[in-house]
Amino acid sequence: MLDKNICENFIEVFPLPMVIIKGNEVLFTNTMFFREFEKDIVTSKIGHKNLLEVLFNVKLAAVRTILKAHNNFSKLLPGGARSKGKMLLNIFYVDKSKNILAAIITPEDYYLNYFTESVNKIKEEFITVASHQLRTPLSIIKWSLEMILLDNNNLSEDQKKMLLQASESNRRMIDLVNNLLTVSRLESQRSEASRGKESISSIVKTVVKENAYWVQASNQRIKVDDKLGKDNTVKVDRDWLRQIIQNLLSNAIKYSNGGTINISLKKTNNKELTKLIGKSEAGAIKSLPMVLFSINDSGVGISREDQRRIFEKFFRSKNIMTLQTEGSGLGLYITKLIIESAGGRIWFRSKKGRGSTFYFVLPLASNKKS
Amino acid sequence: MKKILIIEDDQMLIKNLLLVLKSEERKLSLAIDGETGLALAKTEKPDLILLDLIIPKIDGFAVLEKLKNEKETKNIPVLILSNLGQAEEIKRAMALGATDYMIKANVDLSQIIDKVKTLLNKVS
Repeated sequence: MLDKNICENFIEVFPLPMVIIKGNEVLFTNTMFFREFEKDIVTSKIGHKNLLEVLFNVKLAAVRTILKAHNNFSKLLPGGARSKGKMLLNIFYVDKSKNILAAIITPEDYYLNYFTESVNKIKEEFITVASHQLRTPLSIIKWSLEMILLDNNNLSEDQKKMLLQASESNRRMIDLVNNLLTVSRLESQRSEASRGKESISSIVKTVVKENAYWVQASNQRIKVDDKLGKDNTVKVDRDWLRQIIQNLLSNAIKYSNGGTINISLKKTNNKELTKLIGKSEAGAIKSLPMVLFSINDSGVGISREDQRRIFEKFFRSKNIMTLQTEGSGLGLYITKLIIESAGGRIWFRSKKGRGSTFYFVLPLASNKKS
Repeated sequence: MKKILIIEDDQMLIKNLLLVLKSEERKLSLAIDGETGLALAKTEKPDLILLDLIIPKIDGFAVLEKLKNEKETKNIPVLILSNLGQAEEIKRAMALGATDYMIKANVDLSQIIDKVKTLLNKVS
């Protein structure tokens, strides 16, 4: 048996409110408990008897019955004096003869913080593993396929087709890894997307070029109408800008069959923006002037009922599921996350069966160089 | 003849890089860990170094730091070729003196060749 003093000292230094009960009597409470519930104890004028029953509305007899089958009884309590959020009450036996009970009260912010910290740690580890262990084999496949396809004179048409399919799947996996990394990052809010500066015209050009094979293979054409001129730098991190354009373009390619995809880039001002997205939305954007990007396809479009949910995480529209089973439902969610954390807005117009147009605005970076 | 030093530990990636960078006007040397990489940088005095970040013995960041702290090697341009790609990592490498940073999974070999050509022309 532990010395009674040691037990009392331990309970006293325990960082959460705690009570020890023997039978129906309270043996000890710590200062943390007293601070949290002092007011209730004084106003209800309860003595040591039935403290838990009065304070937390639990019947000890019922708790003991539950504890016969389970090791732990828990209940959510409303906030206390110091902790405004909910609190979790845990009651369990501390002795072998099942007589002495300990009740520990944990405020919500305490256990939520603890939980968030461990989740963030898991995310960090995931990021490292994903970047290195997944991307390395993916780059090997990517580069090897590229080399074979560059020098493809000895290949039959069927072989070329198969390699193109492999290349396309490889690209999709790389996109997925990149998307998961971005979600993980943006959701843990470790950075803002607006850190970098990048030419949107050159990124659009690069992404269009990278997708050329795929566009041709699906009998499509891309037209880019860039009216930005020299003033084409936006305040977004390079890789994220690339990801936004890649996500929107691959959606346009995936969800249409033939036809032309039109991309346009131009400057916009508050007046024009108000016309496009309404006064309240446009007013919320502080940084002007902006670049207005739009991408239009003549594809399957988005049904009315799905339009509200299109930016949700992991959401996939029913009509695209029948057309194409591949896809993670992350693309638009991420695109929106990045654009908004860079101070921009994204929206769309779409009609089922008639195609979609996605628009976004991003703040122009000033061209002044010191 | 221009000299390129590749510091990379993945056999398959090495094969790909050697194949596409091979040319009569270039001499390629290879190190599969950080320690050898540093030694070769001093003896070979390459015109360009392609450096991976997760490599055995001495990691890429430390290699970069050492290269930039040594008189004989500090002016050699270093192109980071890595699959690490978080903003902090890129920032850290650039702050240590890297010339450019490419995420392997996100670039085609042709983009690497173009970048290598540009960097070598700058040296001349």
